[in-house]
Parts: sequence; C-alpha cells; structure tokens
Amino acid sequence: MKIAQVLKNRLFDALWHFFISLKLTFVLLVILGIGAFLGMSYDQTLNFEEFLAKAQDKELFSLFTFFELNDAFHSWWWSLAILLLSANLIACSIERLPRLYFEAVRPRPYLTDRRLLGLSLKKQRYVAHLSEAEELVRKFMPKTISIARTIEGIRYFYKERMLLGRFGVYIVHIALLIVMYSSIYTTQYGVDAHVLVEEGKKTRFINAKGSGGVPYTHDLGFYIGCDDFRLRTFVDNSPMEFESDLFISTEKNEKVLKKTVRVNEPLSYAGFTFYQSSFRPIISERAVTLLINIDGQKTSHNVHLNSEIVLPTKDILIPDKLYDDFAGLGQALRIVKKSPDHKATFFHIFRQHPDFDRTVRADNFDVTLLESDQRYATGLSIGYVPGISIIFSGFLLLLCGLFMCFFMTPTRYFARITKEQEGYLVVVAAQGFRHPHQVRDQFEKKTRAFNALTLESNYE
Amino acid sequence: MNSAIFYNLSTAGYVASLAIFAAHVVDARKLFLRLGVLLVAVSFLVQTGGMVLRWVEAGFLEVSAAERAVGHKIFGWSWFVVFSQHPPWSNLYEIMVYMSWGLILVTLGAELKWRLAWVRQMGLLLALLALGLASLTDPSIKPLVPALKSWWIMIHVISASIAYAAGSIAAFICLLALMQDQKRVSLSRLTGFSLMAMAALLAALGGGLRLLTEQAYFVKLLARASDHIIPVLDLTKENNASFLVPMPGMGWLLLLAIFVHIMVALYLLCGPKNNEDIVAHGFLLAFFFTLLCFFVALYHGFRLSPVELEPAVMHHLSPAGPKFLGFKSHPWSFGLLTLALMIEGFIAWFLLKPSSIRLRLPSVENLEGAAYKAIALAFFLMSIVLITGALWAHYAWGRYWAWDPKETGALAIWIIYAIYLHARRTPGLSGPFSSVLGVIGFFVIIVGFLGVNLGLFADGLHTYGNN
Repeated sequence: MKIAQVLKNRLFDALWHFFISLKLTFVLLVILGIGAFLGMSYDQTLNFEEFLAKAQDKELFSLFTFFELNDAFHSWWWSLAILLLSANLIACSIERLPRLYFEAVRPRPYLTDRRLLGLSLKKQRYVAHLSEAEELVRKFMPKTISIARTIEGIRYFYKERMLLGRFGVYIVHIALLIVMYSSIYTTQYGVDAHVLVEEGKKTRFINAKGSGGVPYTHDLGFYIGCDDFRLRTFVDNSPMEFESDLFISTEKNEKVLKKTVRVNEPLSYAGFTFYQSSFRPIISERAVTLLINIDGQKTSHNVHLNSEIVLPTKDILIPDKLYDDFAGLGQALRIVKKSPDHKATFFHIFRQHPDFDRTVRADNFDVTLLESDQRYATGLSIGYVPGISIIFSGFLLLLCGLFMCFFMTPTRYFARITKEQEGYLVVVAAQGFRHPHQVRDQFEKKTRAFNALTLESNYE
Repeated sequence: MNSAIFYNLSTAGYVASLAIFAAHVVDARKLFLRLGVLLVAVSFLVQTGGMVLRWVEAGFLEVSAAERAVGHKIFGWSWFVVFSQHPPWSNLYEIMVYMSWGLILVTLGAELKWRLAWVRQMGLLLALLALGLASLTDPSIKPLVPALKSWWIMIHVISASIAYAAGSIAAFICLLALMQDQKRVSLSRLTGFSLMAMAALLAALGGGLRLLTEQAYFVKLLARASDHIIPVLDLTKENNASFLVPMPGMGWLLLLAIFVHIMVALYLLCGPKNNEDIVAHGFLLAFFFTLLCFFVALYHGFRLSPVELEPAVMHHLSPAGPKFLGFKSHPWSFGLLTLALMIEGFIAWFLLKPSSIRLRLPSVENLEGAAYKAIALAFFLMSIVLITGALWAHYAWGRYWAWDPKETGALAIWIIYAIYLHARRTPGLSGPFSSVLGVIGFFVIIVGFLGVNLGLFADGLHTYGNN
C-alpha cells in the first residue's frame, strides 16, 4: 500500500514537473510554428477528396493523410499541441502565481542587512545632518513614499512602482486560454458558410464547411433573398462598391427584415450575420452592346455572349469572351470572326480605347464596345459565431497583458537612514523584476545627485 | 510637385548617408556619424512628407472616382470619408515604400537609443532594397477595392510594417551578438548556421520544391505594352495568370549554390572546429556561388534577354510582340537574392577581418538586451496585427480567422517571437540559442510577408496585396 502511494506520488510529481516545464512550452511552440508552416504550404481550403485528387506524390500521401495536412489546423496533432499548451499554461500559473501573489502583497519593505545581500543595485553614503539624509532619500524615491517607519532608531523607506506589471505574463496566458478555448467552441458550434443568391430569388439552404473542410448543406430555418444587386465600377471596370438589397422571409412568405448590405455593413438575424463578400455574374445572361461601323454606317447591336451577328458582308461576328481587365488595359471583348469561306479568326476590342479596332485592325469594318450588361448573383458569407464577444474580450485582455509585460517595469525602491557616530548613513537600493538594463540605468540616474552630495559632504 | 519627387529625394538622401556612414567606417570621426544621422533624419522627414502628399493625391483620385460613379458632387463628411480612406499603404508599391519608412524609423530609433555600429548601415541597406523593389512594381494610384475601405487598415498595416522592421533590425543585432560572443559561439558553428540559413533563403527564392523537382528557376515572361514593360499573361489559364519560363542558366546554378552552401555548412558544423582559414575559405566558396547567381540575374535584367517561343504557345499569350526577361520577371526573388548577397557579404567581411567588426560593437550583454527590446516591440505589434486583422476580417467577411496563408504567416512570426521570449527565460536556451532564434525570426518574416508573392503558398484573402 505504501509503495503504491509512493509510486502514485512520484508519478504525479513527474507529471507535474513535466507540465510546469518551460522547456515543454518551448517544444510545443516549436511544434505549432512548424504546423503553421505546413498549414501555409498545403492548401487548407480543400476537402479530403480534392486534396487526394490534387496530390502529386502518391507515395507520400499516406503520410499526408496521417498528419491530416489538408486540414492541418484541425488535425489531431495540432489539437494535441494546443491541449498540451493549455495544460502547460495552467500548470505554470498554478505553480508560480501563488508565490508571486504573496510576494507582491507582502513585500518585506525593510532594508535590513540580510535583504541588502540579495540586491545588486545598492549604494551607501554618509552625510552630516538628518535633513541632508532625508533630502537624499526624497530625491531617490518616487514622489510618494508608501512606507516610512522608524524601528529601533533606523528609519526605513519603501516604495513600489508598477508592481502590477509582474502579473502581465499571467494575464497574457489567461487571455490565450480564453481565445483558444472560445475558438474551439466557435469551430465546434459555429457555422461558416457561403451562398450565392441570384437577384430576385431566395434560399434557405446555405453551403457550409465542417470539420476537415467537408462541405454540408445547412438549413437556416428561414429564407434569405436578394431583391436587387448593384455594382459600381471605376472607369477601368474594377469594382468600386457593390451592394445587395437583402430580405429575410418566413415559410409563409412574410418579409420580416429588409436591409441593404455592403462590404463592412452586414445584416444580422437570429444569430446569423450575412456579409456582402463577393458577387458572380450569371454567364448565360451576359450581354454586350456593340457599335459596328461599316463604311461610315454605324449600327448598334445588343447581344448576349456567344450569339451571332451577321454583317451585310456575310461575315459572322460572335462575341465570345468578356475580360474584366485585359493585360491592364481594362475591359475587353474577344470577338470571333467567321468569314464567308468558313475561316475563323478572332480579335479583341477594348472599352477604354474605342478607336483601337479602327486604327489597329485593318478591315472593312470596325467594332466598338459600348457597354456590357449583366445579371448577378450576390455572394454572401454567413457567420454564426457563438462566443465571438468572448474571443474579442480575450484579445483585449491579451493586449493589456502584453502592455503590462513590455511597457511596465515593476521596481521596488528601498532606503534607510541610520544614525552613526559622526553623522548619518543613508543606504539606498532598488530591485527590478523586468528590463534589468533599464532599471540599472534608472538607478544610476537617480543616485547621481546622491554621489554629488556625498562628494561635498564632510563632518566638520 | 508630386510624391514621387519626395520619394526620389529621400532615396538620394539615404544613399548619401550610406556613403557618409561608409566614410565613418574608414575614418571614425564623430562628424561623419552626426552628419549621416542628420541626413537620414532629414530624408526620413522628406519621405514622410511624400507619403502625406501621396495620401492627398490618392484622396483626390478617390473623390473624383466616387463622384463619377455616383454622378454628383460629394461634400462634407462624405467627402472627408472618401478622401481619407486611401492611406499610402494600400498596394504593393506603397507597402514597399512604407516598409522602407518603417525600417528607417526603427533604425533611427535604434541609433538614438543604442548607437550600434553596423545597424545603421544594414537598416539603410534594407530600406534601400525595399525602395528598389518598389521601383519594380506599378507605382500608379488605383482606387481601393471595397474590402480595403476600412479604418482597420490604418492600424493593421502600420503595426505590421513597424513590426517587420523591428524584427529585421533585431535579427541583425542578434547576428552581431553571435559574432561578438567569442566565448560561447565558435566561428565554425556561426558560419555553418549562417550558410544553412542562406541555403534556405536561396531555396525559398528559387521556388522551393519546384526548383528541386524541375531543376529550373521559373520567372515571368515580359513584353512591352504602350511604354510599359509588363508580365505576359497566359489567356488559357484562369484569372489571367502570368506565363512562366525558366531563366536560362539559373536553375542548375541555384541548385549548385544551395548544394555548396549545405555541404560547406555540414563540414563546418560536423568537421574540425575553429580553423579560421577553413571557415573563411569555405564560406567564400559558397559566397562565390551566390555572387554568380546574382550576376546571372543582373545579366538577364540589364540585357532584357529575348525569349523565343513556339508559335502555338505565342497564340494564347498577351500582349503580343517580342518577349523577354528582365528584373520585373522576378522582383521578389531578385530582391531576396540581393539580400542574401548583402548578408553573405557582411559575414565574409567579418570572417576576413573579425576584429574590425568586433571592435566597434558593445558587449554581448548589451547587444542581447537591444535585440530583446526590438523583438519585444515586434511581438507586441504583431499581436496588434493579428488582433486587428481578426476584427477587420470579422466585420468584412464574417470570419475572424480563416487560416489564410498570409494570416497564418503572421501567426508563425508571432510564434517564433513567443519561442524567443520563452527561450530567453529557459535555462540552457538563453544567450546564443535565443540569438539564433532572433535571426530565424527574420527568415520567418520573409516567408510570412513574401511567401504568397514568391509562389511558395496558395493565394489567399490577401491576394489584393499582389501587383
């Protein structure tokens, strides 16, 4: 029984020491770093079948599947590393926080000789009068002195600055735990989906992506519809702004909510948020307006892509491909020309350069692209992110913790005045808990006047 | 007067101050140092003025584009919102100019705080490299895409630029700390590690695994359109992808250079220690191959080497006309090659004249302290980058994190600095080991920042950052 107890204790101790080790933190961070690189190197948007189809090296494929590289950030090893890291963070905090807390709330403020032994930043000077000694201490200590007490004829002074900064690391760790676990909860219970809704149509089924990038269809339980989609473009035809008039309707066709959404201006309903993320032209309903000039006679044609225009010369023109931007020259249209002898060639015309075809292509007619018309489907990203406010609180806490870690220098200042036979002995010391160079420089700066006074001081 | 004039003036100022700092290396009079720092500071102010002017230029362009799109004049608050929404860090050209600005800012800060020799020179060289890369991208101001019309862009990109700059300067300080630390760092280990890092850099700029499997260094084909030289597009590919061709003579040479780097590194790491002659000669051999690669790239860049293609291939390329290679065929890889040359050049100088480098440096402890502060700043700013990116993504796309390559790259940078900060406090891992991590941080920055542009990773949500 005793042996079992000893073994149990030893096992617990070994496990505890394993989890409080800073080296474990180091190893886990290295694994996460390597994981991040692997995740960047393999396309994480593919599901397993797509990944399988795209894999070039079939021999290494079993290795890839074992490490789930198509979904590295939800793989077993990534999850295990996160789990171990969180256990490591919690164990380290439990191990170190109580000691730190008690040391912080019970600072041992008296600069005894024993205390002086443990401090590296310390100086002592003799002065003739008490007032001089007090002046020295005032110059050394920060503005308000926390403790000034006389014990057995020795006056002790103490002040601490930014000691809260010592807890910065723990706040960072707590924030990371909040962010990591809320992210896991969000991934588990949230919905990350996308849907294309054609103008004038509605749907209640959205294309969601589950664990491992596996697509599934999610039933919203209500309808999301698009009354109208508007695209404003710059002169080079790049999108300047796009917006959709969305509505939410019930089974009974009642519109319960209407809103115009744009990028950065979403619509929220029943916990779901609908973001304007993209748009897609409906190819079959793409039309162009062309101006055809044959010997000075201009005729305008409004036609769908891939439809034929028969010219009086018996040539047949087929506008077959519309480019939003062709080699930096803006919107362009490729037109296939079929001659009466059935020879097919093609040429390009540019919306921004109406004279291009007339000046470049020597033919008995020229074509100008006047405009293009398009029916669109609006692309909506749909997010159901339970606990997003907790994640954002974690972010805020993380920033506060990091600020405390890097921009606060927790320091303790000690001083004491002892009456000696020929005057007064002033001893000052400082203890920094971070940024040792900065604390040392500050100490040297603060004790500069001290030195000057000492040089002038004498006991005559 | 436009922003380009300000940028040119500031570039000239940086070049002149670099020359003055070079003079200070030869003649250590304080006058040179003060003059150099003053010139850098003035040039920095000129560049800042140029950025403000570019913001104004972009603002007027946005207002005019918006007025044309809506068909009427805009006034008041709406005018201000449209006018100010296009900060001068919205496309690749502006990002590179802004990166150089961040580098100079951090270099000036380091100069005022620590006065570290060599850091000022390397900071200026990196900033000039960023400006050189900017000159290879399209400098025109184009209206913002809708996703970028967000106030989050301000703090997100500002933090990223300064974080990358602080990380780069910190990495160089870490390298100096390793050079200065004669007690704990052997010359052969330091050189072996440097050669391994350079081999990784050469492999990354060469296209990663593709260089190995196809023994070719693929670059974009160029052609003239109007007065510009632009990459040739392959019309058979989706999204009008650039047409790539292998650069003659470069594939095998790069592979050879990587091989030599690795072999020399392995010899130095596993072979006899601290034979200064072997170390120097081994390194110079590897440096010679990097130099060769650089000259081949220069040859094609200046010569605009013509490329002949099959008529069947020419048929689906745009624009038409003669095709050739140049600097614009591989701006990022060429930039990294220049960077590799700069770093190797400095290490070669150190190996040949170690005392000339070490004499001007403070103690190892001070160097490590300075590196820690720079990395702490980079880590704090990277946290802001990740957080603001998540907030922005949540409000713009509905997901705060999408494991997009660029955001994962930012996370990787954050993780490497977290490793550094923990290593510094771990017994046995502080000192030279943490300095090595600081140097690795620079390579992680390169991969995270340029990985997508180098074609190492898939495109993601940040592809609008491409040219």
